[in-house]
Amino acid sequence: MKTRSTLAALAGGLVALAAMPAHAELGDYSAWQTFLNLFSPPGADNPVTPAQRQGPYPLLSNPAGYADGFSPGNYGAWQTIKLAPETGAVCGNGSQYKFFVNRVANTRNTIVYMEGGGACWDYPSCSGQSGIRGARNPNGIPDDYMALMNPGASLVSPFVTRVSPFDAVKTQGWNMVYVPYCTGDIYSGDKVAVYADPTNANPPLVWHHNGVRNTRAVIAWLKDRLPRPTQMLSTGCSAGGAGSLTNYQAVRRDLAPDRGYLIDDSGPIFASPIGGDPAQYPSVPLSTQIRSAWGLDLPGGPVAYLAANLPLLSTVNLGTLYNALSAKYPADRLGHTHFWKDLNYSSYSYERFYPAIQNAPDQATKEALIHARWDIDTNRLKTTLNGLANFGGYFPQYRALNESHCTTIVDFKNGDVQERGLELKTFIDSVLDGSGAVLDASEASDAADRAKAFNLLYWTVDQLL
Amino acid sequence: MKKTIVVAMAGVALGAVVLMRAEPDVVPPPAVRAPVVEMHAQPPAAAPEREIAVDPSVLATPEARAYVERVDFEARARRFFTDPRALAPAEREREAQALTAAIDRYERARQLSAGEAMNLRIGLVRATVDDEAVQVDRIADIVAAYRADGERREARFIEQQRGDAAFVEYKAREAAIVAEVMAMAAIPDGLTREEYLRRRLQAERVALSH
Repeated sequence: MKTRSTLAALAGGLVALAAMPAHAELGDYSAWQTFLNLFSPPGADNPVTPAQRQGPYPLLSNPAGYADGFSPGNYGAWQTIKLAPETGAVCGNGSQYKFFVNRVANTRNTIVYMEGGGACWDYPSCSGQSGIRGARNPNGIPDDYMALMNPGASLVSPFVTRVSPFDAVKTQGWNMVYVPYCTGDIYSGDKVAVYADPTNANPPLVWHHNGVRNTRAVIAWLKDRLPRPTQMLSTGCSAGGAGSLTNYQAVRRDLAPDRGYLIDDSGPIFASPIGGDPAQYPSVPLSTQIRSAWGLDLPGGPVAYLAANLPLLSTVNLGTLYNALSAKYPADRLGHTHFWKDLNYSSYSYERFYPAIQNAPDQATKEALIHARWDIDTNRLKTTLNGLANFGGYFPQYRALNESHCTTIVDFKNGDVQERGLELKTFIDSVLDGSGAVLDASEASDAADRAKAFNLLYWTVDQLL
Repeated sequence: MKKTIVVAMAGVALGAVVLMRAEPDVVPPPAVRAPVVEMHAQPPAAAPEREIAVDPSVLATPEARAYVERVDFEARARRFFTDPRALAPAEREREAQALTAAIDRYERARQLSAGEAMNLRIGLVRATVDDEAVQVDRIADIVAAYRADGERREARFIEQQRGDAAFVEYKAREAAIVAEVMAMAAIPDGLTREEYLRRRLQAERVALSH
């Protein structure tokens, strides 16, 4: 009996170990360390320093004793982390900012996922006026946000699910940090805007474009409460993709992973030199608007902060961010992806700035005018990324979901470049697990995409929007 | 030393928990081999083995049980979705029901987001229902239920915010401070008007939070 029991327990131990991921990654704990972590959760080993609490955009923590809602040993649960006003964090409407952490016991590796959700830069767009594309969460973030089928959150990415019926990716086993979006500024602004109602029917709208400081507060909390990540992916779609891009330098520097990865999904920062000709640089009117509305060029503001840390960034042309990040982190693997036929981010970029689009006689004409400008901007970005070995660009044509906006939501399917036999997962793997140059690929024709069979899943998800 | 013993006990105990589900008559042994573990930033190197006494009470800890159950659920779900039609229809349906029960449990415990749970439920329908018309109806029902629940939660949040006295007071103070600062002819401390306004409003939120 004793021999049988000994053998049984040893076999059981092997079974438990076998249940762990077969391929141990850099940053993974051993099976035994994982078990220890269950009883003694590892704490912070790279906390905020006194120097980091000073200067421009300091890392500011919750006050001592503040009930932030975190339970270190509550693995596998989506925990709501509250940030006190002292951290500088706040939602657009002045309500408390909070974010969400789902911790695991078996690894230090971490994904920082920034939620998408439009943008706003004036009274109509920030006040949620109907008929105008605006921004997510104008009322702030509820505590039970992750239990809420918010249309933005519903388009959940396989990157931040533990088990996806559709796709597997290694971040599904990582610590997850979900950063919600409530400032309308692609996480890049720093200005309390006062928007007058054009109709004078309502009092002015006070809107906190506070994206930079919210991100800094999230990073401060991560440093103070969790271990330094060994591998870190910063990603998001749409505004979240753009926010991952604009905040990557600071996030990368301060979380200080051994290996950093970036995937900007459908949040391009196109070349838009100040004073540039919109015929050549179609995003110039948008850029002009948001640089002012979000306080980007204020003294000591977001652009100055970026430029102080990225030598190759041109402050007159934020499209140089790609070159600057590539040079700053030559060993990191960085990627950008979006669809050629995107009609969401492109509409935000051009619709309200070109009378010809606003006054288009029909939807087909409107879309053609939008696509024409998107093509110019995308072509330039594609060329830029083709010249950066560690910054890949992946541009499929079309997917029948969410106006062909975001390649990495719901599943990783149908972002294929049929002409080269490539799937989106090929690109993702190139960023996260590849060596040598990060994959560059672009699809020339949408014919094969549009010829695909009806996709019930996509149609269903689109009903949520 | 104490952590080493805990690690060893936990490892064996968890292994025993996994096996005990299949063989209820198995009794944990009195002594087993287990590696010594140090706390390192990187995964530790292999360590010499030593025999450690097992405390069977570790088996009953909530942490150990929860971890094993979660690992088992995720592995089971991945296996199922890899090739659901490899299972016979009756077995497929049984497994789908078991997974549904687990999804219900984990979602209630906030261990699955609404988005993830919805996707899993949709995946189960696609894996178990062959008739596309029936698939459409069931998936539509799932989506509608989640949408309705989301709308209820959002409405409740907005109502709570409207009734939050501190927030209501802040919004009133915010409007007053904005009007005051926007009318100022000069901004103190060499700050820009925007930065001064931001600091004033943050100070107001800090004050109201205490």
